[in-house]
Amino acid sequence: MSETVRIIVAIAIMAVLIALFFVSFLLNKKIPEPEGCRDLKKNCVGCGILSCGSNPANQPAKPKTEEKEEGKNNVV
Amino acid sequence: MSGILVLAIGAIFVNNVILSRFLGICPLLGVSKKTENALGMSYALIFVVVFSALLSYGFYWLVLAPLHLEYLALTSFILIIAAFVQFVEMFLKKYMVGLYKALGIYLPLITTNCIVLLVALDNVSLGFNFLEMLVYSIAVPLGYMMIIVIFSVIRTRVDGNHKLPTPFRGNAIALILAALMALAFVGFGGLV
Repeated sequence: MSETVRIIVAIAIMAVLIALFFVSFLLNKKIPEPEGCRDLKKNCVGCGILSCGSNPANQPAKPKTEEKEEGKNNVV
Repeated sequence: MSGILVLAIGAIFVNNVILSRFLGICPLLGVSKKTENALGMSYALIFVVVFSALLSYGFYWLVLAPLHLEYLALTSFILIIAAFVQFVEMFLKKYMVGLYKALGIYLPLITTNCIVLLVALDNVSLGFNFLEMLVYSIAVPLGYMMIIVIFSVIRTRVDGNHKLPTPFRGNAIALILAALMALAFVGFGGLV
């Protein structure tokens, strides 16, 4: 097998694996969390593993307007 | 047969991934505050390591080696492990809700666990046959489980001690404990 063909095959293999990961990721996202498991991520208070997706450090920050509204509701 | 036994004992006691290779330190510190959490994490890790090692080993010898693309091992193994964890999470969510409740929270942690990648890479770089690969893939997470469970038991006692000076509390005392355990496990050095 020539070098060019080998490089093309290598790129094709990587493309297939990346596509496989994206498909699995999207399919996993589509499946709703079962009853009783919805708060697993919300309840995570965070540990030393900051690279984990469940860690509050990696959760998107709430917009300031929402926080203000929440604060108002708490006062009321 | 004795070679297999030596491989297993070596992976569990002598070349323990945490204490002699210093891998998986983040989960050791993060998930060892309670023994139940340490056990849950260990079960999930054993499952993921064994199956991802099987997949990566098969992919290496059936696809990469015949095409002389061995240099793709690292990148392809990362993708295989990441995709496998996604499929496992999906399967558990749909068909095994009880198991998902128990292990689901640990699956994102395992994706970031370097031990999974280490086992997959060691299996091909050390030239293991199928049986050796299987034994090594079970022994390494068993060694991890042993250390994290012992560590969590000690840590629950130490964390509850109010006499501990403030600067030593938390991760500081945990790292000192890990160092003492590593020194203790040096004693297994001449075992195999």
